[in-house]
Amino acid sequence: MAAENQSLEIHPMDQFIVKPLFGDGPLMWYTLSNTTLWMFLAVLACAAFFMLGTIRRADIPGRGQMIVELAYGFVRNMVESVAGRDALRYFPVIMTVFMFIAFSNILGLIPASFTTTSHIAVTAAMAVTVFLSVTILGFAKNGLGFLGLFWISSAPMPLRPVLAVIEVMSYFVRPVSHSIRLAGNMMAGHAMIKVFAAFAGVLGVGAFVPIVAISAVYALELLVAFIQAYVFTILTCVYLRDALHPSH
Amino acid sequence: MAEASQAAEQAGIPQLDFSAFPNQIFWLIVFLVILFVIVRHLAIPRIETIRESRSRRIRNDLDGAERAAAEAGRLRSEIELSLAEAKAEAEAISAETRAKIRGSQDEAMEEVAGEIRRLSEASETRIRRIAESAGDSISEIATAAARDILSTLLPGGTSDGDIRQRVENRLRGDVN
Repeated sequence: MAAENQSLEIHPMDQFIVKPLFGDGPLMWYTLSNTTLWMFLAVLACAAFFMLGTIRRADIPGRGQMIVELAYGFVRNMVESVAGRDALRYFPVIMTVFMFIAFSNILGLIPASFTTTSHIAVTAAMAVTVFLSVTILGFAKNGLGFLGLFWISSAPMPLRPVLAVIEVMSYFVRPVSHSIRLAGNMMAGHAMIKVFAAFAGVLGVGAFVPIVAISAVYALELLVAFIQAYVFTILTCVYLRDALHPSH
Repeated sequence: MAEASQAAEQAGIPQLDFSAFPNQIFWLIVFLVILFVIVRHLAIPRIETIRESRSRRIRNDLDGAERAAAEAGRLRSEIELSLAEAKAEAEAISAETRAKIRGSQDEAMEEVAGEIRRLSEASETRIRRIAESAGDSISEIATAAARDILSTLLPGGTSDGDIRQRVENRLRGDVN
């Protein structure tokens, strides 16, 4: 029992350490790191997905082309139905965000890989970019009318100032929840798998219990990988709708 | 609270290692831009071309189907028309043939009737002639018989002319 306790050294968070790819030098902003590698692989996988899928340009699609067209139609319909027809101008941006997150999440599930989207730095950068773009777009499109987003004209007059304060606060919380939701989901699942894996290493014959658990969690994580990409994207669409049509 | 942060420090949450932020954000921007260019200028135009070509093909096929349906309708009405024409023609031909057959039948019947009439007339003539000649023969035979009887009973009694006259009178029903 004591020996087992000694060998049970779990480092579930080590997988998230950002380190240089080559050598042990300091991590500068330009250093090639594991983040660089896995972002590159995600972009490569996306490009391969699109290009190989549509290589035949067939009127009657094969399996690969079917999936590419499905992804295209999925995001396009989401933009159109959530943010409106005039938001289709921004469809390429949203498609990029969706594909990047989806592929990063899924690549992160490969054992010994690195999940770039499990980092607050990455998700927050994206969320803040979305937040700033949408806010600027809102003012550019609607001028001060954009502030109508916070002035709920359907509420009774005395309540409106109170609601406006709440609305403003919730507006500024958006990038926080937007980014932490994605990073948190990615981090939690991966850490949990790592913990179970460490159990499996010390349990001997009993290891089948954590292995079954890992398999189950892995299946769940595949689902989460997709769902979180979807959630991030649809929230982006919702924010975009607010910027284009701020009237409540 | 302090315990928790201490634990976090021990576990070392790499996500909160701020020194790694510039690196991650820099590469994120680089790769997002690359991916955006790929999506915007390669993937989406390609997919849209495919979808356009497909919808064009579907439209063409639908148009073709519509044209074919119209053509089929036209052909059907044409067929119906020629069918009606052919039926009328057939009826005319059958009526004509029926009339012709009836005509030739009447002709043949008339011919046969004429023949029958002719034959019966000829027969009647012959019968009449036979009857007439039979009448002549009777008077001759009766005269010869009367002469023979008279010559046997009264030899050299009466003349031939007298006998003939009397026989003929008798035959005519003139009894003395």
